[in-house]
Amino acid sequence: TMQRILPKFKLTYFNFPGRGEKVRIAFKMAGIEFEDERIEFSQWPEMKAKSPFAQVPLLTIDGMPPVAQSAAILRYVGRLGNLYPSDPEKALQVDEIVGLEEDFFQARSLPFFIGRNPRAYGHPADIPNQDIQAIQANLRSTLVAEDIPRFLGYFEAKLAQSERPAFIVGDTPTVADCALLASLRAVKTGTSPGVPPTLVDAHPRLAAYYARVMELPVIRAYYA
Amino acid sequence: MPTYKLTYFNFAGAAEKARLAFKLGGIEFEDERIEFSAWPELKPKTPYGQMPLLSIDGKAPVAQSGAILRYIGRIADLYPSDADKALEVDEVIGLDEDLMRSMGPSFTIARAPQALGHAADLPEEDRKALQVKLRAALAADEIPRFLGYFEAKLAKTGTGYFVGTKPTIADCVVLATLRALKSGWLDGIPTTLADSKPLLSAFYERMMAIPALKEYYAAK
Repeated sequence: TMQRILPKFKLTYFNFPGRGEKVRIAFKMAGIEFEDERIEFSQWPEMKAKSPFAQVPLLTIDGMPPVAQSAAILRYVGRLGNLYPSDPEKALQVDEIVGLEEDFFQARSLPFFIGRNPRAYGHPADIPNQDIQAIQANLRSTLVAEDIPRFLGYFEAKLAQSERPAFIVGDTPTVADCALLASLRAVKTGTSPGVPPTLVDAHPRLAAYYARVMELPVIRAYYA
Repeated sequence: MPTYKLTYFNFAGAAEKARLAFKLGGIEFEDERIEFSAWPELKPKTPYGQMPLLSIDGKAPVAQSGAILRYIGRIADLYPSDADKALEVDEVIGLDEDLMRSMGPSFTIARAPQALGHAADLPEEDRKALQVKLRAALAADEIPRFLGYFEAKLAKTGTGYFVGTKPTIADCVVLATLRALKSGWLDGIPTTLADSKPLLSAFYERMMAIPALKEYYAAK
């Protein structure tokens, strides 16, 4: 077989899962080496000023000017790593899940975003910390009661479409699994304060799926 | 050729980029538009309580505007299969999503302020005042910033299109956004914000002159 010679990849993101994790997972699933550059928040203002769109994650390919947008980078790694079908209808199913996961990420991250930039949500820029925390606690209890179960239910229903689901779409891993795993892990490992890790367990197929994917050798090694 | 039905509300919104891609690709589709009054009954019957939806050959509908757009891009040759070119397209699409998302709170503050951590019974005039403030900030900061990114991308590509030498779904996405900005759909956002960007302005004219798109908008 012909060995594809790949460029050197560097993924730059903060030192937490967030939007970067699905890309890290994709690199691992694809078996593609990459430099996992993690920056501290203190480094961010200086980097932000030099970055093309004032955002991370960024993918640097062979030292070229970096590319932004986590979903773009995810799809790129997917294409290189055989994790993204080229058949239009199969890709449509994968893209639907990738989009849903983005909606899920947005919904469960909203309290965090409000805390980071209250003004963008109509709050005073100098809103006292305890007021923000009260707002976040309130929003999180709604997330736990409504939004998170709703999204988990969507993924559960997707798995239920197959009698013996291997992956979220089809029989082989795709970028949809990378995105979904990142989100499930965020809930399971309690990265969202006030969101119980047990929420996934109420969805049996999803809980089994999570266990299965976490047992894949590359994934188990990554999170070891 | 399969039959396609795209279902959305009767306005541009999240479906417009998909409609443009169908038109640009010369692919026939049923442009189903739902009245707001019909939505509460329809919503629970949809897979994820959201639109747009794409139904192929009458099969179970698929959601997510980005998924639908990419599907149309693949069948209409508007979405490169080359990984590097597709990365460029996806970066533009993602940036546009960020821009549209940044406008979200200015809608939610009026419709459901509690979703953003305000009082559910916030008086109408307070909602409006907050909305005005948010829109002013968007007009001063976010929108010009993102329009600047799009302008810079056009300058970098240098062909008049966002990626490569012909239209792609990236062009559909930015055209839809420019039309939304120019339409006055966003109360408090001047319709002229893109006018100061020469390449974007030329892009707009170029895209609107494409016969399939000219015809689509003339028929409205």
